[in-house]
Amino acid sequence: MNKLDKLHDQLERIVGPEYVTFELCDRLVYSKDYSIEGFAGNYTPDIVVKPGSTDEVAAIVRIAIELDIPIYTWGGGTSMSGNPLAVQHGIVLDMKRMNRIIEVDPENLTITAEAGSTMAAVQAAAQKHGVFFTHQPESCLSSTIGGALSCMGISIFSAKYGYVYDQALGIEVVLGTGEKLEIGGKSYLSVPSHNLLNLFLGAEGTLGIITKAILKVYPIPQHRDHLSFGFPNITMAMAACKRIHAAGCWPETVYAFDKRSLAQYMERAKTPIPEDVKMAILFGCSGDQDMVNASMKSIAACCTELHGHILPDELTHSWWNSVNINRDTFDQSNFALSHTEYEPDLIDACVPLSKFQEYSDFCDELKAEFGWIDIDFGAFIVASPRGPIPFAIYFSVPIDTRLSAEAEKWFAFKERMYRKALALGGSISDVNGVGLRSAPWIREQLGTAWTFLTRIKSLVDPKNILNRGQRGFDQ
Amino acid sequence: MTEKLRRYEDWARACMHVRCGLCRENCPAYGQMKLDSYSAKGKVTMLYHWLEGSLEPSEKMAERVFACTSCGLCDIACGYPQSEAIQEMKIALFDAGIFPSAQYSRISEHTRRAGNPYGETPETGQQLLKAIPEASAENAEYLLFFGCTEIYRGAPQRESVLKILRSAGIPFKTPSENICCGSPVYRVGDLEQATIQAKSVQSMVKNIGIDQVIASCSGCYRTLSHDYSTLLRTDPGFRTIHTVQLIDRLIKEGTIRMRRMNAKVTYHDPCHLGRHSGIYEEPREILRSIPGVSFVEMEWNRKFSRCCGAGGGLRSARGEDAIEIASRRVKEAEETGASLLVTACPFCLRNLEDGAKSIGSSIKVCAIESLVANLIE
Ligand SMILES: Cc1cc2nc3c(=O)[nH]c(=O)nc-3n(C[C@H](O)[C@H](O)[C@H](O)COP(=O)(O)OP(=O)(O)OC[C@H]3O[C@@H](n4cnc5c(N)ncnc54)[C@H](O)[C@@H]3O)c2cc1C
Ligand code: SF4
Ligand code: SF4
Repeated sequence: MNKLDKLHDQLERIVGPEYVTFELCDRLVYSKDYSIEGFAGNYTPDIVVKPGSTDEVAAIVRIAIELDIPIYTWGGGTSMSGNPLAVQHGIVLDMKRMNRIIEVDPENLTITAEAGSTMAAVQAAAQKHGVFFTHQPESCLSSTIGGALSCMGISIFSAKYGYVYDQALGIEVVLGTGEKLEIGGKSYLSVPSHNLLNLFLGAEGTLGIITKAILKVYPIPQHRDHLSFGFPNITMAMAACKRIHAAGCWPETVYAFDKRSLAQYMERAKTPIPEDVKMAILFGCSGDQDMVNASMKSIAACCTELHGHILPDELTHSWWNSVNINRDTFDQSNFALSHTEYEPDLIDACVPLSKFQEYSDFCDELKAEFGWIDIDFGAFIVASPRGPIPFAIYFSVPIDTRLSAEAEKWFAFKERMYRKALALGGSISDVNGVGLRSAPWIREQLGTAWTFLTRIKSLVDPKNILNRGQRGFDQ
Repeated sequence: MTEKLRRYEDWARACMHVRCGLCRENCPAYGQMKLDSYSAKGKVTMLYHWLEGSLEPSEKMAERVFACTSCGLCDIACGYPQSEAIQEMKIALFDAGIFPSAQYSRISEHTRRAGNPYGETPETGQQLLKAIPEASAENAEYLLFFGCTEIYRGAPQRESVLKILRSAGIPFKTPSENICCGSPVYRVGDLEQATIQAKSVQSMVKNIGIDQVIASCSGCYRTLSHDYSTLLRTDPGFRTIHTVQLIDRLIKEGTIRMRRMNAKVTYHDPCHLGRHSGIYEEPREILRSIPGVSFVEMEWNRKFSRCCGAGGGLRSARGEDAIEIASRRVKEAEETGASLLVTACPFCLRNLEDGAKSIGSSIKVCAIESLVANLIE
């Protein structure tokens, strides 16, 4: 019996035959995520398995060690950087069967869920008990708690509540040895020694498989309102955000899009965008009506002070609708409709706040140098988790992958952009994960810390079973 | 084999680009069969690779594609009507003779042989239809079209529709032969037979000489009113309304009055009537107009309504799976606290009834026509 047949046999014994598949038509679904990397190589796994419990996950890891076959953990498969792709084929471990909401505890403001639960399901369960789970990426209907905690994502409510990792109080994780760890708990300060949670949060499945999480929830704000403003440039938009912070406002939504990105998000609603908008910001505030009104008034005053002009209500509504994708609003998503002609990929680097404008100008110049004259790129600036002051700028680059030279150009362009980010004192990745896209520059940025990180990796995953070949490990 | 599928290449590429998966969690086929390949994302992935030449169609692939109930919920999430592309995949697989199981091809064989998807002797249907007094009505304004489910499996609903139309004094006629509308064969990819059925219905209606058709089966309604222009490549020459539209009008005009019924009632939107045809309000208006009824919505309603699991040949071919899907919809109805789950399609009705039975639910499932007929003063 060859190795894969043996694996198939053993996996069937662990999870039951209906949750293991060898079929090509099943495996292909797991061969690409949003990134161009997925088109550039063959990442089809050899086998897909769907465990139903932590014990099954641990048993699968032990089999994988015994047979020396890598495991690639998948949640919703919505990541944007090639993070879950099966670089060396092997096993895709699909966590979505582990989707039980274990407990909602409104009194202690926690919710406990298995890692394969979707964000939308966790939110709905919280809502039923009168509390609010705040991590809501646009993919919340399909992406999972485990995937989100592994990718450091942001949410439309991030400006007030923070990153997804700010929501984690405790996790259960299976290491690459097959051992199970439980870290943290229900109390809001649960760090008896080093904060070991941080080792696994944002690790993109390379250090352990998250099987369960205890997460924060909040009291539900009763009202919510939005306004949007157009600015002549990024610098002014950033200054307005700082001014709003000084004024004492704490909005929950601060999303800044350039015109190209706005157009992408208006694909379904077809809402017209005023000609003179260069950079626009959507602000959302929540709470009691008088607080919301006061905050909105103050935000409007700060924006006007810094040469912002208010955008039509129709645009504000369409904008909010297009990012607020959930169980009752998924008919508003623009993703498929706006991504037909081209494959979008992201320049996902972080530069210091004062360099946002310079980095954006550099992107424009480089775009011209690469001969991309007729294509508009999109810029996004997001705030989280320190109130209205944005922390990240990233660019969406539309590539027609049917033209083979274009993908090559994209990889060269990406390298120049990343090198520029480092030269500006920035960092490789901010909100969309490292995965395959940003991995080549990780070592360079981390320097000696890289060696330390690989030592940690060999401790928790000595046989390099977990997401082998991902994130720069063993390349 | 992939010639016609090329039309959907752009949609498939868009999906391969974004991979958003927003179509997954609400897909009845995924919910039941559990593998991602059963969701629209999965099927569109197969379409992409099929067109690229990196996936050869197989029975396993057909098993995934044919499990689509054609509910169209993925279209709402995606923006592209991907269920249309999936329907075209079924046609291409059918034409290539690739079936997941004999259960699917049986629907087509039965229709080709007996004229109805159940394989019932056509004479039974003929006798039944001829026995309806209105079969010989003259000077009628409406033609009441009974579908195969109403004829062979849904006597109570049939009688209810007749009672309502009679008591409202609607001048209607019923056909004296049973011609399947073609929906079941179409949904399992048999385009050729679906077109034959469409032509037969068209010429029957033309011969009778009435241009307003009433249908109470949502599958028939959608097929007659939307699919015929595609199948026939021309306007069918008649207009179709669903019973809920007529009943709603009759209530509003005061032609129909109903007795009091103290009950909490919820409504399941049949995919063919709601999402595919945009008829959401009329059935709700009917229910709200019943004195004593407290109407409650299920969480997933109108265009977001979840599928009962019966469509696309799933009930005939994978009955247990279809019924399990229905039982989840019944549980949703139970959560509203309603004692009555009403729907407007005989096919949904049967599946939901079986779903309720399978979990021992005390909720009563009923057709909107039967409810109205029982309450008519
Ligand atoms: C349409 C769309 C909109 C998006 N909007 C946003 C947004 O608003 N904000 C945002 O932050 N992101 C967004 N994203 C990106 C993506 O949805 C997030 O990164 C998401 O958190 C990934 O979750 P997932 O379950 O899909 O993970 P996957 O894509 O399946 O996996 C992501 C990574 O996490 C690892 N992983 C998955 N599950 C586990 C686990 N249980 N244990 C350990 N490792 C695991 C994988 O190996 C992989 O490295 C969007 C993506 C799409 C396609
Ligand atoms: S039409 Fe319904 S069953 Fe078919 S893929 Fe879409 S959601 Fe699933
Ligand atoms: S919603 Fe559309 S684009 Fe998104 S995964 Fe489903 S079929 Fe693909």
